[in-house]
Order: sequence, then C-alpha cells, then structure tokens
Amino acid sequence: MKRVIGVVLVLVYLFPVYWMVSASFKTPAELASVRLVPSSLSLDTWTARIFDDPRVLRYVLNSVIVASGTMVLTLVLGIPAAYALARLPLRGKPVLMLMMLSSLMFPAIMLATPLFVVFSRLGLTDSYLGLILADTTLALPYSIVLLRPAFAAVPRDYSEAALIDGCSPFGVFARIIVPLVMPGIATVAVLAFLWGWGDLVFALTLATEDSMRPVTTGLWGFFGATTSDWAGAMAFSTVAMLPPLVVFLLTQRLVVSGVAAGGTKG
Amino acid sequence: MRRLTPYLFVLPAVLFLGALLVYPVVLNVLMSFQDVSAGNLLGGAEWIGFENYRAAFADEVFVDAAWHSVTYAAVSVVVQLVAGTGLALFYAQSFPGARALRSLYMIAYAIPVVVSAELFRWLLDGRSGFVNWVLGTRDVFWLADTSLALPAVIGIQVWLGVPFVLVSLTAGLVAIPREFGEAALIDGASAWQRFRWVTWPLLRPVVAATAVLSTIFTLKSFDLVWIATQGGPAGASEILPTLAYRLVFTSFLFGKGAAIMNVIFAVLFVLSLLYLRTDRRTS
Repeated sequence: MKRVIGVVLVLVYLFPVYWMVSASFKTPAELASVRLVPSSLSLDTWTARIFDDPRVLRYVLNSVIVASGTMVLTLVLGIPAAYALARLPLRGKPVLMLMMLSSLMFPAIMLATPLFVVFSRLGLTDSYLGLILADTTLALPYSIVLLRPAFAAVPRDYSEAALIDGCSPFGVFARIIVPLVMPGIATVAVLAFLWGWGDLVFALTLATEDSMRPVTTGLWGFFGATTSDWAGAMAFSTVAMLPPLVVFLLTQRLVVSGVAAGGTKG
Repeated sequence: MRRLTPYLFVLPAVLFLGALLVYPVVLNVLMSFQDVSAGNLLGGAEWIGFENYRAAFADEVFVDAAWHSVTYAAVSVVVQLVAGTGLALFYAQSFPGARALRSLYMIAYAIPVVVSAELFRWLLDGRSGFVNWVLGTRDVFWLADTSLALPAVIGIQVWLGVPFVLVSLTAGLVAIPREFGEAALIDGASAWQRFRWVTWPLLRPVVAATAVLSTIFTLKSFDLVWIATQGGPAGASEILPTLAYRLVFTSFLFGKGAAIMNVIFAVLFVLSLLYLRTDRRTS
C-alpha cells in the first residue's frame, strides 16, 4: 500500500515532465484537445523544429563546450584549493572558508553587471572563455566547500607514510590523496556540469550573438514571451533537458549526496 | 620553499576568485554610488553619493518589487517546507523501492530552470494549458493575469524547491538513531506522539537550516520569473532580481541597478550569517 502511494506521488510530481516530452510527439490537433496518451506518435515537430534547424545543433554544442569547460576549470582550481584548506598548514584559513561559504549565497544576477563591464573591456563577451569563466566563479566556491570535508576524511597516516618513503608533497597529493577522494570529485564534476548547462543569467548578458548562445537562451530566443508553438517549444525543451537528465540518471547517488550537503542552484 | 608549497595549492583559486568574484562585487558597490549609464560605462562616470539608493527607495516600482520578493520567498518556502517534510517522512518509512522513488524527485532538480519555466508557461497557458483542463476553468491566462501571475509563479517555485527540501531533510532523518523511535514504540507512543516528541525535536535544527537556505535560493532566483513572466504583466510578478536586470540591461541604468543588487546582497548576507549559526548548532 505504501509502495503504491509512493509511486503515485512520484508520478503526479513528475507528470509535467512527461507532458512536455509527449507534447513534442503530438500532432497539432491532438495538442489542442487534451489527451493523456497520444493516439499516434508524430515526428513532424522534431523534424521541422529540431533536425532541420541547424541552429539547434549549434546551441547544443555551445552548451556542451561551456558546461564541460566549467567542469574542468572548477576541478583544476577547486581540487588543490580544497586539499590545501583541509590538510596543509595555511594562514588565514578561516577567512578563506568564510569567503567560500558566503559566495554560496551570491546571486548570479549580482555578478552579471560587473562581469559584463569587465568582460566588455577585455573583449571577453561572446566568447566561450568568457562564459566558462563566469560560470566557474560560482561553481568554484561551492566545489571547495563540498570537497574540503572529503579531503579532511582521508587518514593522515596515508600521506605521512608516503612522505617518509620519499614522495614529494605534490606526489602525495596527486598519487595518494586524490584517488581516495574520487567520489567527492565526481560529485563536484557533475554539479559543475549541471550548473554550466543550466545557466541563464550569464548566457543572457555575456553571449548576445546568436552563434554563441547556449540552449537556455536559445530556447528563450525561439520560444519567447509571445510563442504559441507549444509543440516546438516542448521539443526544444526536451533537447535542452536530455543531457543533464542523462548525466543525472547515471550519477544519481552523487548528485543526491552533493545536494544534501547544501546544494545551490540558479 | 617547503613552507610556501601549501600556498601554491590555493593560489590559483584565490587569484581567480579575487579577480572574478571579489573585484566585480567591489565594482558593483562603486557603481552604485556613480551615475553609470551606457555612455560612460568604460570610465568617467560622476560620483553621486547615495542618489541611486534614494531614487530606488523612492520608486514605487522598487517598493512593489520588494514586497513581491518577500511574498514570493515567504509563501513558497513555507509551502515547499511543509510538502517536502511530508514527503521526506513518508519516504523515510522502510518499504520496497522507497530510496529509488525518492531520488526520482531529483529529476526536477537536474532539469535546467529555464526548461521547467518554459514547460509551466505552457501548462498554465490560457488556451491549451493542462491546468485549465484539470480545473475545468476556461481561458484563464494564469501568467498573464495581474492578480494570478504572482501566485502562479509561487506555485512553480514550490515545484522546483521540493526536491531540495526532501533531500536535505532525508539526510537529517537518517541521522536520527532508529532506537529512539523503537523505544518510544515499546512505551506505547502513537505515531503522532513519536513524531512530535522524538523525531521533531531532533529534526528541527535541520528544518531551520533548510528553511534559511531555501529562503536564500528563492530570494536570489532570477531564471524562473524571467522566463515565466519577465516580471509582468504590468509588474505584477516583478521581483528585485528581475527589476535590477531590467534596469541594467534594458534601461542601461547601471548605477541604479547596482544599488538594487546591493540591497538584495545585504539581505542575503544577513540570512547567510543566520544560516551559518543554525548550521553550526546542527553539526
């Protein structure tokens, strides 16, 4: 009985997602008359709005580049910093940690104006690098906050033994410690990717040229405030949802543990 | 050299955040005291003291948006906390598949907010929207109606926020030793009594921390309202982040927009201090 209620609750909650995907396969006539299960599957919307429109592929590629770039840069900067803050003798640790924690609370929208000003001066608007840098500013503090406890949990004996055996401090970090915190690193990688993929604010403000748009602003550009092409909008939404959904389904556990540790979004 | 090595590990991250987080925030504060517009964006703007703040506070549009922000955050956080707590308690019972079902809620978290907002724009559409069909109402344009837009956006925000509450309260529930509930059961406590006197006192700090975090996320959120209504119709669902964005990027009033962002930031800063306090008590 509990199981039945549990399943029904999930189905009700996720119904909008089903409705979105199924709409993209409906004919215009079926879309107008509300039908829970489509009587036939039509690929017309997908052909006309997705496959035959080269801009869609461009947007998806842009999102892949920006999200992956954000992920890589966040890891490159975040892993050593989290390690040092957890394990190495440093002055000013409390100040740095307070800075990381308080930037979790930062609205992306607050950074948008000054970054727009600075990036305009540097010629970084309408570039992948600009978007990646902007997305990393908020993903990085989060990753450090999340990774620090993982590094702190590695028993000290491991690194001490390696140091005695003649390993350099960097060797200890790269060969001994990092492999032990792989689950934490994977969590951060997935969350940084989802973050970069979902960003709207920086895409709106820093990538105004159509060829540089990621899927979020691409979707909004196609099906903005005045659209009535809901089948097209839902097909495009499905495309924009699919990569993060696949990443999530493959790494559910990691995402859940990351969010439980204070996950921020948007 | 040995003593300097640790600093080399943090240096790249610190330099990066200094250049792209701290410096922009300082710039934002400076801009809020200047008369910055599209013409003098690259330098040479006049210093005008608190004029931007005074103008913002005196502006009816700002006052309305501030109220909308408070309503939006307060109502959606309360509703999503109640719903999320209920779901967390339900899925914390041991029945086959409970864990797997619970993590399915996180799908809504993985989907970009832009996509969810676009989806709800259609669900709440007046002509072919599913919500009208379910309620049997006709031609109600939820997001284009001045008295319905804000409640509708709050409804969407609840849908978006439930997974976070569910996941973080589940983490709190798991931390409560099973023996406590079992001992109460042996003593003949009813389900309600066990919740009221065993679970709730132990869960309360987690609920408090989750409430503060959810409030912060909701107050700073921009994507949902921007896609769903752009703050409209006629400012009916305008919140501070969308107002600030509009001032900067469509009216090019950089100084006034920066002033509003700083107001948002000041509120969030106070809330995050509150969070750090509640969180310290939990751990």
